Amino acid sequence: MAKKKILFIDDEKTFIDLVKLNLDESGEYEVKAVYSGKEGIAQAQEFVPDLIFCDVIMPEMDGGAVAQELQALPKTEKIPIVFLTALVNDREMGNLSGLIAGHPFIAKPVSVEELLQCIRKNIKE
Amino acid sequence: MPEESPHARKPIPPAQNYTENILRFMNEALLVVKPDTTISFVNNASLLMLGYTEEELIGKPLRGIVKEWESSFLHAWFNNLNIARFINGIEETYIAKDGKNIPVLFAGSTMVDAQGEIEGVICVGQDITDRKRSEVDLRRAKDDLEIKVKERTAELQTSNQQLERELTERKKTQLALQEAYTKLKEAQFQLVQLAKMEVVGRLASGVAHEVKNPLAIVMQGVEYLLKKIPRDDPQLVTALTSIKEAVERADTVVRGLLDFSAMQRLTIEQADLNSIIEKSLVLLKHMSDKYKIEVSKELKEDFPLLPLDKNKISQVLVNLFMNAIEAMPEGGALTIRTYLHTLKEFKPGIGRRWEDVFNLGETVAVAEIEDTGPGIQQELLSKIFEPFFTTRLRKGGTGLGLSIVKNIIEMHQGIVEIQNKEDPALGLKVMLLFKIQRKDGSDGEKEDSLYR
Repeated sequence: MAKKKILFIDDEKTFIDLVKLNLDESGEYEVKAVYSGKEGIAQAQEFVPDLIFCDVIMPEMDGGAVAQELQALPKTEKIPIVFLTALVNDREMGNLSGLIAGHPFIAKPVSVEELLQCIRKNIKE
Repeated sequence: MPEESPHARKPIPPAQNYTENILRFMNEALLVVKPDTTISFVNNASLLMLGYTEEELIGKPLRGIVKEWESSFLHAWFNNLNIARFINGIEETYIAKDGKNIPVLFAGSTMVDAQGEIEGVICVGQDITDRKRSEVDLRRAKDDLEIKVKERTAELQTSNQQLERELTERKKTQLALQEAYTKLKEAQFQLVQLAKMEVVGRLASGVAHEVKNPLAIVMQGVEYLLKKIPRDDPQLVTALTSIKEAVERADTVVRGLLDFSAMQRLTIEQADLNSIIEKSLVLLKHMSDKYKIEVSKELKEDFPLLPLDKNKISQVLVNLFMNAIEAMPEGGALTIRTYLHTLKEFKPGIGRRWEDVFNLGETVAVAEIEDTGPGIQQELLSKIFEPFFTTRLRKGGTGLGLSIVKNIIEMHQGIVEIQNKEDPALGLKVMLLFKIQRKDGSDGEKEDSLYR
Protein backbone atom coordinates (compact mmCIF):
# COMPACT_ATOMS: atom_id res chain seq x y z
CA MET A 1 0.00 0.00 0.00
CA ALA A 2 1.30 3.38 -0.98
CA LYS A 3 2.33 5.72 1.77
CA LYS A 4 -0.11 8.51 2.63
CA LYS A 5 1.12 11.92 1.54
CA ILE A 6 1.37 15.01 3.69
CA LEU A 7 2.17 18.58 2.62
CA PHE A 8 3.54 21.15 5.06
CA ILE A 9 3.25 24.88 4.24
CA ASP A 10 5.12 27.14 6.65
CA ASP A 11 7.52 30.06 6.28
CA GLU A 12 9.46 28.71 9.31
CA LYS A 13 11.77 26.68 7.09
CA THR A 14 13.82 25.12 9.88
CA PHE A 15 10.69 24.02 11.69
CA ILE A 16 9.10 22.11 8.82
CA ASP A 17 12.46 20.73 7.69
CA LEU A 18 12.82 19.19 11.16
CA VAL A 19 9.19 18.04 11.12
CA LYS A 20 9.88 16.36 7.80
CA LEU A 21 13.02 14.71 9.21
CA ASN A 22 11.05 13.35 12.15
CA LEU A 23 8.15 12.10 10.08
CA ASP A 24 10.50 10.56 7.50
CA GLU A 25 12.12 8.79 10.44
CA SER A 26 8.78 7.21 11.37
CA GLY A 27 8.59 5.89 7.83
CA GLU A 28 4.80 5.99 7.75
CA TYR A 29 4.26 9.00 5.48
CA GLU A 30 5.59 10.68 2.41
CA VAL A 31 6.20 14.27 3.43
CA LYS A 32 6.79 17.41 1.40
CA ALA A 33 7.61 20.84 2.84
CA VAL A 34 7.24 24.21 1.13
CA TYR A 35 7.92 27.67 2.55
CA SER A 36 5.19 29.95 1.21
CA GLY A 37 1.47 29.94 0.54
CA LYS A 38 1.86 30.29 -3.23
CA GLU A 39 4.36 27.46 -3.39
CA GLY A 40 2.00 25.41 -1.25
CA ILE A 41 -0.97 25.86 -3.59
CA ALA A 42 1.16 24.96 -6.61
CA GLN A 43 2.73 21.95 -4.91
CA ALA A 44 -0.66 20.72 -3.73
CA GLN A 45 -1.88 20.50 -7.34
CA GLU A 46 1.04 18.29 -8.31
CA PHE A 47 1.57 16.29 -5.15
CA VAL A 48 -2.14 15.90 -4.27
CA PRO A 49 -1.55 15.05 -0.58
CA ASP A 50 -3.93 13.29 1.78
CA LEU A 51 -3.47 15.99 4.40
CA ILE A 52 -2.16 19.55 4.38
CA PHE A 53 -0.62 21.34 7.34
CA CYS A 54 -0.61 25.09 6.84
CA ASP A 55 0.82 27.87 9.00
CA VAL A 56 -1.58 30.72 9.81
CA ILE A 57 0.66 33.76 9.89
CA MET A 58 2.88 33.96 6.82
CA PRO A 59 4.13 36.88 4.73
CA GLU A 60 2.38 37.63 1.41
CA MET A 61 -0.39 35.06 1.75
CA ASP A 62 -1.71 33.93 5.13
CA GLY A 63 -3.06 30.50 6.02
CA GLY A 64 -6.71 31.52 5.70
CA ALA A 65 -6.24 32.69 2.11
CA VAL A 66 -4.25 29.58 1.20
CA ALA A 67 -7.00 27.31 2.59
CA GLN A 68 -9.68 29.25 0.72
CA GLU A 69 -7.83 28.90 -2.57
CA LEU A 70 -7.08 25.21 -2.05
CA GLN A 71 -10.75 24.55 -1.43
CA ALA A 72 -11.68 26.45 -4.56
CA LEU A 73 -9.48 24.24 -6.76
CA PRO A 74 -11.02 20.91 -7.88
CA LYS A 75 -7.86 18.86 -7.25
CA THR A 76 -7.50 20.00 -3.68
CA GLU A 77 -11.03 20.87 -2.61
CA LYS A 78 -11.52 17.60 -0.67
CA ILE A 79 -8.09 17.54 1.04
CA PRO A 80 -8.34 18.13 4.79
CA ILE A 81 -6.37 21.08 6.07
CA VAL A 82 -4.96 21.45 9.59
CA PHE A 83 -3.67 24.82 10.67
CA LEU A 84 -0.37 25.16 12.46
CA THR A 85 -0.37 28.15 14.76
CA ALA A 86 1.83 29.84 17.28
CA LEU A 87 -1.09 31.90 18.58
CA VAL A 88 -3.28 29.58 20.59
CA ASN A 89 -3.98 29.89 24.27
CA ASP A 90 -4.93 27.39 26.95
CA ARG A 91 -8.65 27.78 26.52
CA GLU A 92 -8.55 27.06 22.80
CA MET A 93 -6.23 24.13 23.47
CA GLY A 94 -8.71 22.63 25.92
CA ASN A 95 -11.61 23.26 23.62
CA LEU A 96 -11.60 20.22 21.33
CA SER A 97 -14.17 21.68 19.00
CA GLY A 98 -11.88 24.64 18.40
CA LEU A 99 -11.59 25.41 14.74
CA ILE A 100 -9.94 28.17 12.78
CA ALA A 101 -12.05 29.14 9.75
CA GLY A 102 -13.73 25.75 9.97
CA HIS A 103 -10.45 23.81 10.06
CA PRO A 104 -8.86 22.03 13.01
CA PHE A 105 -5.59 23.38 14.27
CA ILE A 106 -2.54 22.33 16.23
CA ALA A 107 -0.49 24.65 18.39
CA LYS A 108 3.26 25.09 18.17
CA PRO A 109 5.48 23.90 19.72
CA VAL A 110 4.23 20.43 18.96
CA SER A 111 5.80 17.08 19.83
CA VAL A 112 6.18 14.35 17.23
CA GLU A 113 3.69 12.21 19.12
CA GLU A 114 1.06 14.95 19.09
CA LEU A 115 1.69 15.49 15.41
CA LEU A 116 1.23 11.80 14.64
CA GLN A 117 -2.01 11.70 16.63
CA CYS A 118 -3.25 14.74 14.75
CA ILE A 119 -2.32 13.18 11.39
CA ARG A 120 -4.14 9.93 12.22
CA LYS A 121 -7.19 11.82 13.27
CA ASN A 122 -7.45 14.11 10.27
CA ILE A 123 -5.91 12.32 7.29
CA LYS A 124 -8.15 11.45 4.34
CA GLU A 125 -9.00 7.74 4.37
CA MET B 1 -0.24 121.76 98.76
CA PRO B 2 -2.02 125.01 99.57
CA GLU B 3 -2.20 127.39 96.70
CA GLU B 4 -0.69 130.22 98.64
CA SER B 5 2.08 130.14 101.22
CA PRO B 6 0.85 130.85 104.75
CA HIS B 7 3.79 133.24 105.16
CA ALA B 8 2.27 135.60 102.65
CA ARG B 9 -0.91 136.51 104.50
CA LYS B 10 0.05 136.11 108.11
CA PRO B 11 -3.51 136.30 109.46
CA ILE B 12 -2.20 135.50 112.97
CA PRO B 13 0.39 137.95 114.05
CA PRO B 14 3.78 136.62 115.08
CA ALA B 15 4.09 135.77 118.72
CA GLN B 16 6.84 136.75 121.04
CA ASN B 17 7.40 133.16 121.90
CA TYR B 18 9.87 131.54 119.51
CA THR B 19 8.41 128.05 119.78
CA GLU B 20 4.88 129.32 119.19
CA ASN B 21 6.11 131.15 116.08
CA ILE B 22 7.43 127.88 114.71
CA LEU B 23 4.01 126.36 115.23
CA ARG B 24 2.20 129.32 113.69
CA PHE B 25 4.33 129.43 110.55
CA MET B 26 4.85 125.74 109.81
CA ASN B 27 3.54 124.58 106.42
CA GLU B 28 1.28 121.82 107.69
CA ALA B 29 -2.15 122.67 109.13
CA LEU B 30 -1.86 122.28 112.90
CA LEU B 31 -4.81 121.98 115.24
CA VAL B 32 -4.52 121.26 118.92
CA VAL B 33 -7.67 119.69 120.30
CA LYS B 34 -8.79 119.10 123.86
CA PRO B 35 -9.82 115.57 124.90
CA ASP B 36 -13.47 116.74 124.45
CA THR B 37 -12.52 117.36 120.75
CA THR B 38 -12.88 121.13 120.84
CA ILE B 39 -10.12 123.05 119.11
CA SER B 40 -7.76 124.96 121.42
CA PHE B 41 -5.04 126.03 119.00
CA VAL B 42 -4.70 126.63 115.26
CA ASN B 43 -1.87 127.83 113.04
CA ASN B 44 -1.80 129.93 109.89
CA ALA B 45 -1.75 126.94 107.57
CA SER B 46 -5.01 125.65 109.13
CA LEU B 47 -6.73 128.99 108.71
CA LEU B 48 -5.58 129.25 105.12
CA MET B 49 -6.65 125.72 104.34
CA LEU B 50 -10.08 125.86 106.02
CA GLY B 51 -10.95 129.52 105.35
CA TYR B 52 -11.96 130.20 108.97
CA THR B 53 -10.61 132.88 111.28
CA GLU B 54 -8.78 131.86 114.44
CA GLU B 55 -11.74 133.02 116.50
CA GLU B 56 -14.17 130.94 114.49
CA LEU B 57 -12.13 127.82 115.02
CA ILE B 58 -11.09 128.05 118.67
CA GLY B 59 -13.64 126.16 120.72
CA LYS B 60 -15.23 124.56 117.63
CA PRO B 61 -15.58 120.75 117.87
CA LEU B 62 -13.67 118.66 115.41
CA ARG B 63 -16.91 117.14 114.09
CA GLY B 64 -17.45 120.51 112.36
CA ILE B 65 -14.43 120.19 110.16
CA VAL B 66 -13.85 116.40 109.79
CA LYS B 67 -16.05 114.91 107.15
CA GLU B 68 -18.35 112.13 108.30
CA TRP B 69 -16.99 112.46 111.80
CA GLU B 70 -19.02 109.65 113.29
CA SER B 71 -17.57 107.08 110.95
CA SER B 72 -14.11 108.61 110.69
CA PHE B 73 -10.97 106.94 111.90
CA LEU B 74 -10.17 110.11 113.88
CA HIS B 75 -13.36 109.78 115.92
CA ALA B 76 -12.49 106.19 116.73
CA TRP B 77 -9.02 107.24 117.80
CA PHE B 78 -10.36 109.99 120.06
CA ASN B 79 -12.40 107.34 121.83
CA ASN B 80 -9.27 105.33 122.49
CA LEU B 81 -6.59 107.93 123.12
CA ASN B 82 -5.33 106.09 126.16
CA ILE B 83 -4.58 103.00 124.16
CA ALA B 84 -3.05 104.52 121.02
CA ARG B 85 -1.00 107.57 121.89
CA PHE B 86 -0.29 108.54 118.28
CA ILE B 87 -1.42 107.80 114.78
CA ASN B 88 0.27 108.51 111.49
CA GLY B 89 -0.42 108.40 107.78
CA ILE B 90 -4.21 108.43 108.11
CA GLU B 91 -6.16 109.93 105.28
CA GLU B 92 -9.09 112.11 106.39
CA THR B 93 -11.15 114.77 104.73
CA TYR B 94 -11.53 118.28 106.24
CA ILE B 95 -14.46 120.48 105.29
CA ALA B 96 -13.53 124.10 104.62
CA LYS B 97 -15.79 126.94 105.59
CA ASP B 98 -17.03 127.20 101.99
CA GLY B 99 -17.93 123.50 102.08
CA LYS B 100 -15.02 122.40 99.93
CA ASN B 101 -13.59 118.98 100.75
CA ILE B 102 -9.87 118.95 101.47
CA PRO B 103 -8.14 115.59 101.63
CA VAL B 104 -5.38 115.52 104.21
CA LEU B 105 -2.69 113.15 105.33
CA PHE B 106 -3.23 113.14 109.03
CA ALA B 107 -0.77 112.59 111.92
CA GLY B 108 -1.77 112.94 115.54
CA SER B 109 -0.19 112.55 118.92
CA THR B 110 -1.43 112.98 122.49
CA MET B 111 0.01 115.57 124.82
CA VAL B 112 0.07 114.72 128.59
CA ASP B 113 0.47 116.94 131.69
CA ALA B 114 2.72 116.45 134.66
CA GLN B 115 0.24 113.98 136.15
CA GLY B 116 0.22 111.89 132.98
CA GLU B 117 -3.33 112.97 132.10
CA ILE B 118 -4.09 113.66 128.44
CA GLU B 119 -4.09 117.37 128.06
CA GLY B 120 -4.67 117.66 124.35
CA VAL B 121 -4.22 116.14 120.96
CA ILE B 122 -1.85 117.58 118.37
CA CYS B 123 -3.33 117.17 114.90
CA VAL B 124 -1.19 117.81 111.82
CA GLY B 125 -2.85 117.72 108.41
CA GLN B 126 -1.01 117.87 105.12
CA ASP B 127 -3.10 118.94 102.16
CA ILE B 128 -2.95 116.11 99.62
CA THR B 129 -5.43 117.54 97.12
CA ASP B 130 -2.84 117.45 94.32
CA ARG B 131 -1.78 113.96 95.18
CA LYS B 132 -5.40 112.84 95.25
CA ARG B 133 -6.04 114.50 91.92
CA SER B 134 -3.00 112.70 90.50
CA GLU B 135 -4.32 109.51 92.03
CA VAL B 136 -7.69 110.05 90.42
CA ASP B 137 -5.99 110.86 87.13
CA LEU B 138 -3.86 107.81 87.55
CA ARG B 139 -6.85 105.65 88.36
CA ARG B 140 -8.72 107.07 85.42
CA ALA B 141 -5.71 106.41 83.20
CA LYS B 142 -5.53 102.95 84.69
CA ASP B 143 -9.25 102.44 84.06
CA ASP B 144 -8.83 103.74 80.53
CA LEU B 145 -5.92 101.42 80.10
CA GLU B 146 -7.91 98.53 81.47
CA ILE B 147 -10.75 99.33 79.12
CA LYS B 148 -8.32 99.50 76.25
CA VAL B 149 -6.69 96.26 77.35
CA LYS B 150 -10.11 94.67 77.58
CA GLU B 151 -11.04 96.00 74.16
CA ARG B 152 -7.74 94.82 72.74
CA THR B 153 -8.14 91.45 74.46
CA ALA B 154 -11.61 91.16 73.02
CA GLU B 155 -10.26 92.06 69.60
CA LEU B 156 -7.49 89.53 70.04
CA GLN B 157 -10.01 86.92 71.15
CA THR B 158 -12.13 87.65 68.12
CA SER B 159 -9.21 87.40 65.76
CA ASN B 160 -8.04 84.33 67.64
CA GLN B 161 -11.43 82.71 67.16
CA GLN B 162 -11.32 83.77 63.55
CA LEU B 163 -7.90 82.21 63.24
CA GLU B 164 -9.10 79.03 64.92
CA ARG B 165 -12.03 78.89 62.54
CA GLU B 166 -9.69 79.44 59.63
CA LEU B 167 -7.36 76.80 61.02
CA THR B 168 -10.24 74.34 61.31
CA GLU B 169 -11.29 75.20 57.77
CA ARG B 170 -7.76 74.78 56.59
CA LYS B 171 -7.47 71.43 58.37
CA LYS B 172 -10.70 70.35 56.72
CA THR B 173 -9.42 71.50 53.36
CA GLN B 174 -6.14 69.76 54.00
CA LEU B 175 -7.96 66.54 54.90
CA ALA B 176 -10.12 66.82 51.80
CA LEU B 177 -6.99 67.45 49.75
CA GLN B 178 -5.28 64.48 51.30
CA GLU B 179 -8.31 62.33 50.57
CA ALA B 180 -8.42 63.59 47.00
CA TYR B 181 -4.70 62.96 46.69
CA THR B 182 -5.10 59.40 47.97
CA LYS B 183 -7.93 58.82 45.53
CA LEU B 184 -5.86 60.27 42.75
CA LYS B 185 -2.99 57.99 43.69
CA GLU B 186 -5.32 55.00 43.65
CA ALA B 187 -6.74 56.02 40.30
CA GLN B 188 -3.25 56.56 38.99
CA PHE B 189 -2.20 53.16 40.29
CA GLN B 190 -5.19 51.55 38.64
CA LEU B 191 -4.48 53.36 35.39
CA VAL B 192 -0.90 52.20 35.51
CA GLN B 193 -2.13 48.66 36.21
CA LEU B 194 -4.54 48.93 33.31
CA ALA B 195 -1.87 50.31 31.05
CA LYS B 196 0.48 47.53 32.14
CA MET B 197 -2.14 44.94 31.33
CA GLU B 198 -2.84 46.48 27.95
CA VAL B 199 0.84 46.46 27.17
CA VAL B 200 1.11 42.88 28.38
CA GLY B 201 -1.86 42.00 26.20
CA ARG B 202 -0.41 43.62 23.10
CA LEU B 203 3.02 42.20 23.75
CA ALA B 204 1.67 38.74 24.41
CA SER B 205 0.52 38.02 20.87
CA GLY B 206 3.71 39.30 19.34
CA VAL B 207 5.92 37.54 21.84
CA ALA B 208 3.95 34.31 21.55
CA HIS B 209 4.43 34.17 17.80
CA GLU B 210 8.10 35.05 17.96
CA VAL B 211 8.80 32.64 20.83
CA LYS B 212 6.60 29.73 19.93
CA ASN B 213 8.14 29.28 16.46
CA PRO B 214 11.70 28.87 17.76
CA LEU B 215 10.33 26.67 20.55
CA ALA B 216 8.69 24.51 17.91
CA ILE B 217 12.02 24.21 16.10
CA VAL B 218 13.85 23.27 19.32
CA MET B 219 11.16 20.72 20.11
CA GLN B 220 11.37 19.06 16.71
CA GLY B 221 15.17 19.19 16.74
CA VAL B 222 15.42 17.61 20.18
CA GLU B 223 13.02 14.84 19.22
CA TYR B 224 15.02 14.12 16.10
CA LEU B 225 18.26 13.98 18.08
CA LEU B 226 16.64 11.75 20.72
CA LYS B 227 15.97 9.22 17.98
CA LYS B 228 19.43 9.51 16.47
CA ILE B 229 21.73 9.40 19.51
CA PRO B 230 23.07 6.11 20.81
CA ARG B 231 20.69 4.72 23.44
CA ASP B 232 23.59 3.67 25.66
CA ASP B 233 24.59 7.26 26.39
CA PRO B 234 22.31 8.19 29.30
CA GLN B 235 23.90 11.63 29.77
CA LEU B 236 23.00 12.68 26.24
CA VAL B 237 19.47 11.42 26.76
CA THR B 238 19.19 13.35 30.02
CA ALA B 239 20.47 16.54 28.41
CA LEU B 240 18.03 16.31 25.50
CA THR B 241 15.12 15.39 27.78
CA SER B 242 15.92 18.44 29.91
CA ILE B 243 15.85 20.65 26.82
CA LYS B 244 12.48 19.20 25.86
CA GLU B 245 11.09 19.88 29.35
CA ALA B 246 12.44 23.43 29.23
CA VAL B 247 10.65 23.99 25.94
CA GLU B 248 7.41 22.74 27.48
CA ARG B 249 7.89 25.05 30.45
CA ALA B 250 8.56 28.06 28.25
CA ASP B 251 5.47 27.16 26.23
CA THR B 252 3.37 27.17 29.43
CA VAL B 253 4.52 30.70 30.19
CA VAL B 254 3.76 31.93 26.70
CA ARG B 255 0.33 30.31 26.77
CA GLY B 256 -0.34 32.08 30.09
CA LEU B 257 0.51 35.37 28.40
CA LEU B 258 -1.80 34.56 25.52
CA ASP B 259 -4.61 33.77 27.93
CA PHE B 260 -4.01 37.13 29.49
CA SER B 261 -4.25 38.90 26.17
CA ALA B 262 -7.37 36.96 25.24
CA MET B 263 -9.14 38.33 28.28
CA GLN B 264 -10.91 41.18 26.59
CA ARG B 265 -13.66 39.19 24.84
CA LEU B 266 -16.59 37.29 26.33
CA THR B 267 -19.14 35.04 24.70
CA ILE B 268 -22.10 35.33 27.00
CA GLU B 269 -25.01 32.88 27.12
CA GLN B 270 -27.51 31.79 29.76
CA ALA B 271 -25.56 28.98 31.39
CA ASP B 272 -25.90 26.48 34.22
CA LEU B 273 -23.12 27.20 36.68
CA ASN B 274 -23.55 23.82 38.38
CA SER B 275 -22.91 21.94 35.16
CA ILE B 276 -19.84 24.09 34.39
CA ILE B 277 -18.54 23.14 37.83
CA GLU B 278 -19.20 19.43 37.22
CA LYS B 279 -17.41 19.52 33.85
CA SER B 280 -14.45 21.46 35.25
CA LEU B 281 -14.08 18.93 38.05
CA VAL B 282 -13.98 16.09 35.51
CA LEU B 283 -11.02 17.79 33.81
CA LEU B 284 -9.11 17.67 37.08
CA LYS B 285 -10.16 14.23 38.26
CA HIS B 286 -6.76 12.67 37.56
CA MET B 287 -5.13 15.42 39.59
CA SER B 288 -7.46 15.26 42.59
CA ASP B 289 -7.11 11.45 42.61
CA LYS B 290 -3.33 11.72 42.48
CA TYR B 291 -3.24 14.14 45.42
CA LYS B 292 -5.84 12.09 47.35
CA ILE B 293 -8.27 15.00 47.55
CA GLU B 294 -11.76 14.32 48.83
CA VAL B 295 -14.02 16.39 46.60
CA SER B 296 -17.50 17.22 47.84
CA LYS B 297 -20.18 19.19 46.07
CA GLU B 298 -23.01 21.08 47.69
CA LEU B 299 -24.66 22.45 44.57
CA LYS B 300 -28.03 24.10 44.99
CA GLU B 301 -30.79 22.49 42.99
CA ASP B 302 -32.87 24.53 40.55
CA PHE B 303 -30.11 27.10 40.36
CA PRO B 304 -31.04 29.96 38.01
CA LEU B 305 -29.30 30.19 34.64
CA LEU B 306 -26.66 32.91 34.69
CA PRO B 307 -25.28 35.14 31.92
CA LEU B 308 -21.83 33.54 31.62
CA ASP B 309 -19.06 32.78 29.16
CA LYS B 310 -18.96 29.02 29.79
CA ASN B 311 -15.40 28.52 28.61
CA LYS B 312 -13.98 31.41 30.57
CA ILE B 313 -15.83 30.46 33.75
CA SER B 314 -14.58 26.92 33.30
CA GLN B 315 -11.07 28.34 32.98
CA VAL B 316 -11.61 30.26 36.22
CA LEU B 317 -12.86 27.18 38.03
CA VAL B 318 -10.08 24.93 36.74
CA ASN B 319 -7.57 27.55 37.84
CA LEU B 320 -9.07 27.79 41.33
CA PHE B 321 -9.44 24.02 41.71
CA MET B 322 -5.83 23.54 40.66
CA ASN B 323 -4.64 26.14 43.17
CA ALA B 324 -6.65 24.42 45.89
CA ILE B 325 -5.39 20.95 45.00
CA GLU B 326 -1.78 22.09 44.78
CA ALA B 327 -2.16 23.68 48.22
CA MET B 328 -2.88 20.21 49.64
CA PRO B 329 0.00 17.98 48.46
CA GLU B 330 -0.56 15.68 51.43
CA GLY B 331 -4.24 15.28 50.62
CA GLY B 332 -7.23 17.14 51.99
CA ALA B 333 -10.77 18.15 51.24
CA LEU B 334 -12.09 20.37 48.44
CA THR B 335 -15.65 21.57 48.85
CA ILE B 336 -17.61 23.37 46.16
CA ARG B 337 -20.90 25.04 46.99
CA THR B 338 -23.39 27.06 45.03
CA TYR B 339 -26.17 29.08 46.62
CA LEU B 340 -28.11 32.31 46.41
CA HIS B 341 -27.19 35.01 48.86
CA THR B 342 -28.71 38.39 49.71
CA LEU B 343 -25.99 41.00 50.30
CA LYS B 344 -26.31 42.70 53.66
CA GLU B 345 -22.81 44.01 54.30
CA PHE B 346 -20.88 46.94 52.79
CA LYS B 347 -17.73 45.62 51.16
CA PRO B 348 -15.47 46.69 48.32
CA GLY B 349 -17.74 46.68 45.28
CA ILE B 350 -20.88 46.18 47.37
CA GLY B 351 -22.81 49.25 48.46
CA ARG B 352 -24.95 52.05 47.12
CA ARG B 353 -22.53 54.00 44.97
CA TRP B 354 -23.00 53.93 41.23
CA GLU B 355 -19.59 52.35 40.75
CA ASP B 356 -20.43 49.45 43.07
CA VAL B 357 -20.83 46.14 41.29
CA PHE B 358 -23.66 45.00 43.55
CA ASN B 359 -26.28 46.92 45.47
CA LEU B 360 -26.85 46.28 49.11
CA GLY B 361 -29.88 44.01 49.43
CA GLU B 362 -29.31 42.47 45.99
CA THR B 363 -29.51 38.69 45.66
CA VAL B 364 -26.50 37.19 43.94
CA ALA B 365 -25.41 33.73 42.81
CA VAL B 366 -22.38 32.47 44.72
CA ALA B 367 -19.88 29.74 43.90
CA GLU B 368 -17.71 28.91 46.87
CA ILE B 369 -14.50 26.87 46.74
CA GLU B 370 -13.02 25.82 50.03
CA ASP B 371 -9.86 23.84 50.69
CA THR B 372 -8.05 22.54 53.75
CA GLY B 373 -4.60 23.70 52.64
CA PRO B 374 -2.40 26.11 54.60
CA GLY B 375 -4.16 29.30 53.41
CA ILE B 376 -2.28 32.40 52.34
CA GLN B 377 -0.30 34.75 54.54
CA GLN B 378 -2.63 37.61 55.47
CA GLU B 379 -0.20 40.28 54.23
CA LEU B 380 -0.04 38.63 50.81
CA LEU B 381 -3.82 38.48 50.36
CA SER B 382 -4.00 41.95 48.83
CA LYS B 383 -1.37 41.09 46.23
CA ILE B 384 -2.57 37.77 44.96
CA PHE B 385 -4.62 39.29 42.16
CA GLU B 386 -1.71 41.25 40.75
CA PRO B 387 -0.35 39.95 37.45
CA PHE B 388 2.94 38.10 37.92
CA PHE B 389 2.47 37.66 41.66
CA THR B 390 3.19 34.02 42.49
CA THR B 391 4.12 31.91 45.49
CA ARG B 392 5.19 29.05 43.23
CA LEU B 393 7.87 30.67 41.11
CA ARG B 394 10.21 27.73 41.55
CA LYS B 395 7.46 25.24 40.85
CA GLY B 396 6.67 26.70 37.46
CA GLY B 397 3.98 29.23 38.40
CA THR B 398 3.77 32.20 36.04
CA GLY B 399 1.74 34.34 38.39
CA LEU B 400 -0.96 35.02 35.85
CA GLY B 401 -3.61 32.59 37.13
CA LEU B 402 -5.43 34.67 39.74
CA SER B 403 -5.11 37.94 37.84
CA ILE B 404 -6.86 36.20 34.96
CA VAL B 405 -9.51 34.83 37.34
CA LYS B 406 -10.18 38.31 38.66
CA ASN B 407 -10.25 39.78 35.18
CA ILE B 408 -12.74 37.22 33.91
CA ILE B 409 -15.03 37.57 36.93
CA GLU B 410 -14.97 41.36 36.66
CA MET B 411 -15.81 41.15 32.97
CA HIS B 412 -18.88 39.20 34.09
CA GLN B 413 -19.76 42.13 36.39
CA GLY B 414 -18.98 39.88 39.32
CA ILE B 415 -16.69 39.90 42.34
CA VAL B 416 -14.10 37.42 43.51
CA GLU B 417 -13.34 37.32 47.21
CA ILE B 418 -10.54 35.34 48.77
CA GLN B 419 -10.29 34.91 52.50
CA ASN B 420 -8.47 32.75 54.93
CA LYS B 421 -10.94 30.84 57.02
CA GLU B 422 -11.25 32.02 60.62
CA ASP B 423 -8.65 29.51 61.69
CA PRO B 424 -5.90 30.01 59.09
CA ALA B 425 -4.85 26.38 59.51
CA LEU B 426 -8.21 25.44 58.03
CA GLY B 427 -7.36 26.69 54.58
CA LEU B 428 -8.70 29.14 52.10
CA LYS B 429 -12.13 30.07 50.85
CA VAL B 430 -12.72 31.64 47.44
CA MET B 431 -16.12 33.09 46.64
CA LEU B 432 -17.32 34.09 43.21
CA LEU B 433 -20.32 36.41 43.20
CA PHE B 434 -22.38 36.63 40.03
CA LYS B 435 -25.21 38.82 38.90
CA ILE B 436 -28.43 36.94 38.33
CA GLN B 437 -29.40 39.72 35.93
CA ARG B 438 -26.96 41.88 34.03
CA LYS B 439 -26.53 45.42 35.37
CA ASP B 440 -28.47 46.82 32.43
CA GLY B 441 -31.39 44.56 33.36
CA SER B 442 -31.13 42.34 30.29
CA ASP B 443 -30.57 38.60 30.52
CA GLY B 444 -27.26 39.05 28.79
CA GLU B 445 -27.96 37.23 25.54
CA LYS B 446 -28.90 40.35 23.61
CA GLU B 447 -25.67 41.98 24.70
CA ASP B 448 -23.53 39.25 23.22
CA SER B 449 -22.19 41.25 20.34
CA LEU B 450 -20.79 43.86 22.70
CA TYR B 451 -18.71 41.32 24.49
CA ARG B 452 -17.38 39.29 21.64
